[in-house]
Amino acid sequence: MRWGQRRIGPLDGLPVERVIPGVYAVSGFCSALGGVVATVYTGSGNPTTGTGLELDAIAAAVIGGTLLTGGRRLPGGNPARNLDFRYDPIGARFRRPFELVVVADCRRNVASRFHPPPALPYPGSPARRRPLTPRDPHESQTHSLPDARLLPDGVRRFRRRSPAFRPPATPLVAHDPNFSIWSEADHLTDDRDAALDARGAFAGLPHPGGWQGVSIDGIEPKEVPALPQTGLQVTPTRSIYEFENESCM
Amino acid sequence: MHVTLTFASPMLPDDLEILTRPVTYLTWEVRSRDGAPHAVSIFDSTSSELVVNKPDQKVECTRETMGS
Repeated sequence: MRWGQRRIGPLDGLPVERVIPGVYAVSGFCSALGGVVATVYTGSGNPTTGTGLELDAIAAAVIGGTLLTGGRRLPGGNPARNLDFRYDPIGARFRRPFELVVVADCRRNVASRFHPPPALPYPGSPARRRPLTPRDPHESQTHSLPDARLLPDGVRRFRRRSPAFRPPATPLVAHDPNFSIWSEADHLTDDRDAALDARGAFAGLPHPGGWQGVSIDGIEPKEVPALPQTGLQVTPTRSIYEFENESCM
Repeated sequence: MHVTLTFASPMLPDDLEILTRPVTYLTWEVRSRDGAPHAVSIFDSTSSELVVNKPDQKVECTRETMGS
């Protein structure tokens, strides 16, 4: 059950109402079996036979394959792995919580102490592009992090120093480990051979007058040139790409 | 032309119904640089490889009509 929350299970389509009685039934059956075994072993019935065996039961469950941290692990798996108490971050890695973006920026912050901040990965001189319409001042900063109030002081200061933000990977679709697409390229249109399942996932063609258009993802169709990317903004729930070319449309 | 492409996953922790909605919204915003009105059409396609484990698996699809 995702995040161990009973309320989220049904929303994910899991039959929680069926599973929980089943779990109790199996547990009760195992307890009864244990009672029978204890009775056979001692030759008598005693309601306090199991007292003090709780830790043994927990140890048996862990060695048998149950993960204390939750999740699925088959019995008879690697015992060392079964004793691995670390928090399994795989679920977190593929979702997009606030911390991930913050962590990504902290990493860049550390790196920038030793190297100059990387140049903007986006081609084209900003001076050459004239503003399209009067914009909100917040929008003019095309590279930015989520709400500054969420960030620690150091990151906030760093952000003020360097507005450019190039995340290690940009979330495009971020739901769960099975439904998750990230772009690790400088430009969305570079992601031709994305190692993940993003290959050919999105194709966009804004095309003025006929099909001599531009391809957003640069994958399909191949003869269509990719639209130059001019900006990227990542917020906790959105990844906003800006593209612009000289097309006279 | 100027295109703004927004991938929005409404992961709002205070609304579980929205949080678990397995949907990512793509918003296209196309503006012309000369300020004059132009006609634009957008072809947006999503690969069926997204829903399979291996590329040789079969995919079932239907065509839906939404709105008017």
